[in-house]
Amino acid sequence: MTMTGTGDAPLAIGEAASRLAALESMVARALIGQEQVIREAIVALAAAGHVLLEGLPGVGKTLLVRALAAAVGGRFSRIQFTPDLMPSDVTGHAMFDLKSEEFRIRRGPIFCNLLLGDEINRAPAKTQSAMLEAMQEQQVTIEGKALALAPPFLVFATQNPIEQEGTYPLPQAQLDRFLLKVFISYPEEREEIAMVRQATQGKVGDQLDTSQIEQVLTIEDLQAIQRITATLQMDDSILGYAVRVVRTARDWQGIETGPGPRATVALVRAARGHALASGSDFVTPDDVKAMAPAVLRHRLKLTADLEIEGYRPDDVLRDLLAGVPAPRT
Amino acid sequence: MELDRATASLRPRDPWEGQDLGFALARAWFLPMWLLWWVSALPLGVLCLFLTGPRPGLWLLALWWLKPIYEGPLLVWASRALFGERLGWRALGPLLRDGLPRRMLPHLLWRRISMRRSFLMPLTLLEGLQGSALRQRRHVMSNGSGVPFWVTLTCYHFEILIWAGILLGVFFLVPQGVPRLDLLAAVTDETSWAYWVSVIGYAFAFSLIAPFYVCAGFALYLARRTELEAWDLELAFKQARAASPGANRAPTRGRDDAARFGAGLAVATLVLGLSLLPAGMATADARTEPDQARALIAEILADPAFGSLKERQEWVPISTPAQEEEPASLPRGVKAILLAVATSLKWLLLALAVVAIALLGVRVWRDRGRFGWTARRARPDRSPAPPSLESIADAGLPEDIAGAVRSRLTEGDRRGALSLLYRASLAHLIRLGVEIPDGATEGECLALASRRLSPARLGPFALVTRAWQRFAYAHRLPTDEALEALLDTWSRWTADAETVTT
Repeated sequence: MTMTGTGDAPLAIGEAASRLAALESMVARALIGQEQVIREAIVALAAAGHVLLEGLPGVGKTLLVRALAAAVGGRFSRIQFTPDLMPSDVTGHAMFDLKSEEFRIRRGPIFCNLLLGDEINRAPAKTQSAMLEAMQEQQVTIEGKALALAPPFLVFATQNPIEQEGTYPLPQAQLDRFLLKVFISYPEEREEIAMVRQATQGKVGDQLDTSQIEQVLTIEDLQAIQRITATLQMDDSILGYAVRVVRTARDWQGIETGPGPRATVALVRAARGHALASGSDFVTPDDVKAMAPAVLRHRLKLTADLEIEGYRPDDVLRDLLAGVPAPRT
Repeated sequence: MELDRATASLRPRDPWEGQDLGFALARAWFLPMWLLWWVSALPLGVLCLFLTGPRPGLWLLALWWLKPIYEGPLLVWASRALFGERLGWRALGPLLRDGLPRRMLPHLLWRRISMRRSFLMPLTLLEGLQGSALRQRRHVMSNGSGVPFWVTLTCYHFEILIWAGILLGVFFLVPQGVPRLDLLAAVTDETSWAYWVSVIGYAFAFSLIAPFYVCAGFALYLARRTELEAWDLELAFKQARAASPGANRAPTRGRDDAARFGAGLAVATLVLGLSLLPAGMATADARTEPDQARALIAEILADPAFGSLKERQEWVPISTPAQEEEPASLPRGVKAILLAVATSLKWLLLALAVVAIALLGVRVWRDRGRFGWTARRARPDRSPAPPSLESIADAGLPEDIAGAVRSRLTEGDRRGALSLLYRASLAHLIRLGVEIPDGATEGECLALASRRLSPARLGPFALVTRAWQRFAYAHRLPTDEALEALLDTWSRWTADAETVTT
């Protein structure tokens, strides 16, 4: 199978996989000790899905997205969400040009290929809605005029799980727009030592360092990879397995609200992306299982008693995945 | 029973006063009883520790459950101490033996959870009653008082208070630099050292409360027997006899009043009886006719000693006593109907209660996951599901795998051949000790096997897995030569393993 990549040169599946591998190793130069997180971000890129990044302050959420943007190329924007951020600050607005005496559309930072929405839960609901609508529709409407966002348009939104005062938690319906929810935790000691050494060696100030990131993909390459991912071979038994996983989550004790059919779609897309990122040209149940936590953890709501006991969705998903028979033979 | 030797005053007491007596006795005898508790309980505690292993919660439960065994000697000791006999270490053996109920099982089953255990313990240990005699005796001894229940409840609460006090004391008084007690772990985390501190503290609370609990029950028992058997009167008569002329013993100090009263009463009764007896009654074989007896009784009752009639006048206010209204009586038919309705309602309520309990049971069973009774409960530290060798074996693996695979290949059933080869490989891995949960994917099976087995013992499993995955999920058939080579490698792998096993 071939797809058009840079220029008109066809991009084979193997080539697409190797470029993703190169992208992964390039990002790993900046973000040390977070292989799982980088893999999930790469999967989201390949599957053309938005990502919600959650982690404590200082674990590298912004750095990850900056490194991805530097390695992919294309247009990158960053929005710092604050309580006084207005929808027009995100999408843009119409302004009256005195010189030409007509209204001119001033496009907001959302018109980009890779958007970093920092601390998305700090913005009020209407601003969140404006961006989330753009994520779903891939277009924004200003003064009644629909403006399409140039593909690929990918959002990496971050939020931190602490300091919830004065925040506007995303509702379940809006969380569903994110293909993956990726957790970034603290790195291991050895990796943190390497990271600190790299971040402090001859560096002045505390700005994020992506100087050693080189561009390994173009926007066209990324689009070709996304098309290849979308058509990656998937057997019906895998499809059935993905559906079984999601349906089991709906009936699982301890889950009050289960994931909807959109979750199944997301799981299949993410599994395809994972297969390609793993260098395979077909999807296996391992790909589904590997991506299930990231796809489902923000799409289910635990019962009150489990939440009180301190369980997290990942704990429940671990049991759930162990209980759903894999299509082995 | 030599009541006159009792070191406590045996007089009628109400149950609350009896309980006070018990606590006073426990205070007086605390040290020997506390030491006796440790001597009785320590061997059992050590034995339980061996049986329960590193599960402190279970150990404490066992120690709590076995209280009737090691609290018995305390009661026997107290019963002897009441009559001034202080048993020493030499009497420990008989003491432990006498303190053991003869039929242990009921005391460790339904009687263990009785809230009147301390009150009823003397019946079996001191009176040695069993079976129907014990039941009748319990019936006689029970006077409907709730004091034994409250004694038990109070002692439980004091155990908890002492335990909490010990924990908080350790928590607050441990100096800096010493590992601090984690209070949450002390009550929840059975694997932590804090939990051990907690259960040992609770056992210590057992030891402190046990003398009070046993003595309170014993004193309640004494109070009830004094009431039933008039021990106070018996004691008074004994003291009267001792004080009477000719008796060698002089009344002890402090009992002069009772002795004087008893002596007077005894003498009066004796004199009165003798004076009223006809001469014919002095002989043992004398018989009194009924008429004579009645006349005699009337004569005796006419004596001023048995009361006399007095006339007294007093002023009373003139008023009309309120007419008590007769309760309205219902017609017989209505009463019968009401009774029938009430009876029906009673049975209906009972039936509803049974149905409700059954429904509750069904609901609890259905939701057992919420209580952590089932493996479906989300537990981060849950062990993996057991190996599913049975499920694989259910698929009906033939004896000669290689032959069956070749046969299917000859028939053109490549999917069947590869599937059989992969299933047989899994079954072989399980025989080699690899645990494979039902939910494991091919990749996870391979990872589990790689972690467990050396590359030599892993054999061609990675190749088989890859071939199966490519065929099952990418629909890519291996060539006949590749399949034949894989089969040969697989046959050598399983044959080598069998050789090693044998």
